[in-house]
Amino acid sequence: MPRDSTTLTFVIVGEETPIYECEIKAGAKREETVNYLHEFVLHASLDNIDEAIWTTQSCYLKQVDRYYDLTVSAYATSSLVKFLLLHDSKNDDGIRNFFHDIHEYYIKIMLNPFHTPTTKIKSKPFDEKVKLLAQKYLL
Amino acid sequence: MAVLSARAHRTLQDLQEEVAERTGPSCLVSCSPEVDSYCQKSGLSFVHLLRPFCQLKNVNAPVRTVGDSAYRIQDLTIRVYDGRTMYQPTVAQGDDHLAHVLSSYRVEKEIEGVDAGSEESLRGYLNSKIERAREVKVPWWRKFRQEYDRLLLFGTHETLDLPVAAIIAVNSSDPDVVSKTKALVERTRQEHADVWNPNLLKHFVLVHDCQNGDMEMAKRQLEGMKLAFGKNECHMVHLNGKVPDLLNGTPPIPDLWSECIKESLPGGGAGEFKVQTSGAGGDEGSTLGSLLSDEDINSVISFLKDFVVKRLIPHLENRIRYFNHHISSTRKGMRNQFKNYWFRKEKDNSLAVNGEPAYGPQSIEFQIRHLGDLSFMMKDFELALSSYRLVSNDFKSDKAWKNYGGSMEMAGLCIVMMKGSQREAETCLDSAFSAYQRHGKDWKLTVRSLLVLSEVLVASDRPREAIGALKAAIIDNNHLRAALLLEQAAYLYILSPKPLFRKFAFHMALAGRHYSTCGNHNLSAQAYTLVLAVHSKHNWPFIDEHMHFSLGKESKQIENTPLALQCWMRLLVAIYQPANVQQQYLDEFLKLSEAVQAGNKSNMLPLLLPNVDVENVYVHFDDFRCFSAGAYAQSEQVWSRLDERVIPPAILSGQNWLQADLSSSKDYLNLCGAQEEIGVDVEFANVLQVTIKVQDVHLDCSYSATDIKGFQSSSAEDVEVKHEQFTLLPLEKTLIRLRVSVKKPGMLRINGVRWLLCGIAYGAQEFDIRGPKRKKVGEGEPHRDHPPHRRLLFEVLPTIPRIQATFSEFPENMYAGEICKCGLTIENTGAAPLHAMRIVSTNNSLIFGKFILAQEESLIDFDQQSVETVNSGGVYSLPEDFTLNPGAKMQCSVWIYTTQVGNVGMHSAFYFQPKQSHAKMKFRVLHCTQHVQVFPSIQLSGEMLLSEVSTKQLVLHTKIRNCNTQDTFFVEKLVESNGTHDLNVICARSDDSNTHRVNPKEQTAIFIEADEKGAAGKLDGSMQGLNLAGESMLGLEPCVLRSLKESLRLSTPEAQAGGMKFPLLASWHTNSRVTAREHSGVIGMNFLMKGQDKPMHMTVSYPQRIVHNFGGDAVCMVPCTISIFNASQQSIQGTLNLDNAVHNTKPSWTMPKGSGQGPNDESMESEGSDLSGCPSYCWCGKLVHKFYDVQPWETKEVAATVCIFAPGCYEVDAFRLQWSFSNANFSQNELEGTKFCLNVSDGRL
Repeated sequence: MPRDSTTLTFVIVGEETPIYECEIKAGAKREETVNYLHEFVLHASLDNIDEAIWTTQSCYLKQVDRYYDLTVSAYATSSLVKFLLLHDSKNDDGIRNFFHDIHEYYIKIMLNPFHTPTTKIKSKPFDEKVKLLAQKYLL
Repeated sequence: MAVLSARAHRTLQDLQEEVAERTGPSCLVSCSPEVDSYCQKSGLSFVHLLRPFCQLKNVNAPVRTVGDSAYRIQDLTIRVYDGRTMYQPTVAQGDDHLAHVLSSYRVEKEIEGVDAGSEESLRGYLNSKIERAREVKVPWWRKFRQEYDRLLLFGTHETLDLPVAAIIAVNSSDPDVVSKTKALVERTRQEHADVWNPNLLKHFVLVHDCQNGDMEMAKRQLEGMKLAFGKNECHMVHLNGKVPDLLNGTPPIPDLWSECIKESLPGGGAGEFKVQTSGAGGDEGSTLGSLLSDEDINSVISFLKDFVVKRLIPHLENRIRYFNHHISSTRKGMRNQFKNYWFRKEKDNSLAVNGEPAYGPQSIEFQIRHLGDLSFMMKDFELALSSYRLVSNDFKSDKAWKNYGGSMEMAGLCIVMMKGSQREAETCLDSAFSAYQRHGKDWKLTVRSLLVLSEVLVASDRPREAIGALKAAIIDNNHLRAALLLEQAAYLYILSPKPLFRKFAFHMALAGRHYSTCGNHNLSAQAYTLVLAVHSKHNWPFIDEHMHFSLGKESKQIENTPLALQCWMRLLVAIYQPANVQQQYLDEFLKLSEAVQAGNKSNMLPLLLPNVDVENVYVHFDDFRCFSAGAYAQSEQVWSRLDERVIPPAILSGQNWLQADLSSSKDYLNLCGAQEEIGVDVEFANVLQVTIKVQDVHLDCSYSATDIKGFQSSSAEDVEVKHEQFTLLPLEKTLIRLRVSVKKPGMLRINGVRWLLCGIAYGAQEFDIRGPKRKKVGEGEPHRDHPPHRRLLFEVLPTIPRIQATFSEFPENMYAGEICKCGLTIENTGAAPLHAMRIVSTNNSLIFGKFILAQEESLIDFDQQSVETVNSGGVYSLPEDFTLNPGAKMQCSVWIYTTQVGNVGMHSAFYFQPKQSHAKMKFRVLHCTQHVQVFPSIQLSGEMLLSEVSTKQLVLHTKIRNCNTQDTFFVEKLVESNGTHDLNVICARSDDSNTHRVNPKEQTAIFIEADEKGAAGKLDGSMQGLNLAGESMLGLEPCVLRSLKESLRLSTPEAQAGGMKFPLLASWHTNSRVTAREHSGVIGMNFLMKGQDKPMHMTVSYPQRIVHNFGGDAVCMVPCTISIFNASQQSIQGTLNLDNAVHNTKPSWTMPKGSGQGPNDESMESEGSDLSGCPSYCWCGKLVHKFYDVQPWETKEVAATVCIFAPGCYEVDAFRLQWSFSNANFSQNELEGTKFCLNVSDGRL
């Protein structure tokens, strides 16, 4: 099992499709095997999220899934677009704030009339903002 | 939920049946070697012969154990084992065996129908699996489960598998059966001393081989045995009684046995030994039981039934009662409990094994456990449960965890069998699990307890918790078991109320990985296929890539090359990988493809490399509109405007919606001619970072000679496709035009595109053009609507003519207003003659001369045939009877003239009709586009002024502006005359040359006087009569000049209503700094009358000086002419009133002195003092003139007479015109006459 001190993968999923992916890692070099494992864990956690959405009023769904030492925290917007964060350390408040701020940026992306729930987000400023927020709250 | 509960119920039943099957009373079988040899004739051993009939149904045997009331057992399964195999194999042997069993398991058919690319197929498969009675258990899981249980039989801490009876089988052929039987019993007792006990039930079977000895003899032997061992203790079974039917052949025997024969372990044990299934007899014993007749089988069944009902059940009843009595006396009751409590600790622990106490058969714990097991077998679960509970306390206090776990496991099963509280059963199994864990050495038992627990949980409809149990069972590095457990867990996710497909996929992927690690590639490939079915939308790139990579590797291992090829094919779009990995993937793919396709073109792969944009294609074809190079790019508007002009309305008549036959309209078809090329623009993209070579790229077409229903794959006889090839650099995109031409009339459908990748792999993609759905779809018709340039369905008409127009020496750049000459060649490239050609161009910027028919291979010039064109309104038409034959060429000169600036597109349309008209294509139009860079030159502007002097004179105020920033222009003497006016420059330059020099960005102005030429004709605003000063200098042919003037006329904007238009031409020349040569051209403009507010113009002509002898005649009559000029664009009517000056007392300047009528009179008086006392004038003759219908540009002259009575200077202004437009009911306008002076002197002086 690949272990990093801070493994962070952030994904936005619209319907079934990942529309934005971001790998945030502190000082660790990329490992080939990690990518698909992370994707698998995140993808499998969508099942849990689908259930968790209906159990709470809030957007933040907290931890929804675990795979060994990898934890998935999730956040679902009212249009059921999901933000997933794969992490291996506990930081509940930071993650909650991170998601909340990302949501605001995502709404700005959504204001584009040509944006559909499955359009890939390729905006550079958005990417920079996500990385900045990750630095602020998660690392 | 109802369905689920039913399923759970079914699961529980299944579980109960399974438990009953594996916990039935076990019997030891011992037989003489001859008996085995009899059975061998049918390919069986005696044990195996019995096994299929050991499940006894509806025995309906009364049982009374310890309770007062009896109950009846309906079904009972007994287990028979050869005495030599009744021991547990070692752990390593067990693992090897399991690995062997599963690797040799044939799984090909299991996931049949599941396609890695389709989620639907997966759902179908899973649904059918859930529907089936046996839940979601895959067959190899069931096999694993059975084998796993089998390997744990005969455990030392359990008494469940201890034999409760011994079946002694002897052969009838021996003369002294009784002594032989006794010897066999003795031998068995010695051989199996560990499981033998004196209370073991012994049953004797006399086996008779019908092929070997007499039946009567055997019956007598049986009588002898009965005498020796007891009447009920002996039975006879006869075998091999089948008489081969030589006439009809032997009917096939249903195969009852193969399922019961389990694989033996190399180290033996686990109730199974190796059987030579090929049959020792070797004759007809190729199938199992082939020599057994129905009677034989019946004898076996009746033996087993008698044995169970008459011997086994009563025996077990007795044992239970015995044990119960014994235990009650030692353990139950208050006294015994105390005794047990106090004295238990003092027990002898000398038998301890591995630090835990072991219990010999004489120990009370052993007996209690045995009682529990026996009553469990006899389905007295309450007794069994109380026994297990009783003994488990002992085990717990002794810290005998393994024994405790075993008893708790059985207690849990008891509750399940009693259909008791599920929660309680789970608690029991949970504590069994934790006990086994505390024991810690035998994890196989731990796993077994968890497996049972998961089954119980599934039966109670809690699959999620069952998954937890299964996952907990992955406790060591045994990859096979981990794989099986994960796979089962994955299936359980599907059982949830809302199936969790993603979890399913994840666990399947993990299972596949474990299978792969333990070398089970078949199962691994299956698991990966299921994962890919979930990920069929390829949304998650890394998962997609990794799974295809893994499945590719696995399928290569199992030599499923087509599947491997499909996987590697998907890897060709792994855009995330670095170039070297992509190259590796590509190489591997090509290697596989070489093996699978083997150069066979028919085996096309839906390759994704290069990526073909199948949704967007552009179809180039010629129906009644043809396009030359570049013309496609122009907007539709350009062409429709040209078409409107060039297509004669007559040919379109009958094509409006009223007359058209709507029923046969086929708007989904494109028209084209046979042997004409159809081009399809397709975009190919290389998504990888490696260079790829794409060869043999061509369209895949279907051809039908008849109608839309008869499409067949096209052959080279009907359709000719052009093959292209190209190389794509990393991440390069290219647009390729693929061409096809049809040789015969019929129908053509373009399906897709095919290519050869890197010289090895043949790929194909179908086009999938989006469009709205069509409502009524006939057979064979497309389902979607497409615009013509995206339609891929063609109706091919017989050969129709087609022309090619080539411009030669078309200038690249020119100046606005320049006249350039170039050549045009028109060739009939079609295979049919054509006629009735017409040509137009945008803004009439192209002027066509006469055509000269080029003679093939002829150098004699005077033999040329020339064809005059007729120009009407910019449409050049060739004579109707002129025919251009196939292959014939004609040439003409073209003059280009435009006043537009910038990059100007010169569009032209060539209309023609085939000589033999086709109903669906009566004509064709070729569209051509040429582009030219036009530099700015001279611009004329200005206004037209009416001369105050005469209505016959106009003044043109002309401003000449040089719009070019670099070049100096020289404007020639502008125009000498046109049809109606003579033109003269008023203020010519001092050097008296006719050339006006205009420097860059400068402007100059000149005035031109236009004098009307007599009374002939009137100004019609046309340029036809225009005569240029340098007409000959330009060297233009008259027809060209005519067209040029025409185009000038059309190019200038329309005059405003009511205004007047006056055309003017000017020629210029320059030495261009850009092109370094001389350019000359013509510029024209229409002058518009300024002052639309004054459409009527009135002038008076009168004698300048009059001398009259007032002495002779007191009245001087002065004749004047009043001209009324209509400068408007409409006809006018009106009245000219000459006011009588006498009555009007309007003696201008002759006011008597001192009349004092107003302040203004002071000045008048001072100015006109010499006119004092002058009498007034008056008009005489006809004083009112009426005009009707004064045409635009027309002058009316009225003769009037002024009467003067004294010499003097008279200012005459007493006349005015009242007028209105004749065609509109406008209000009256009034125009005061301009005053004029009459100077009359007396002749007497």
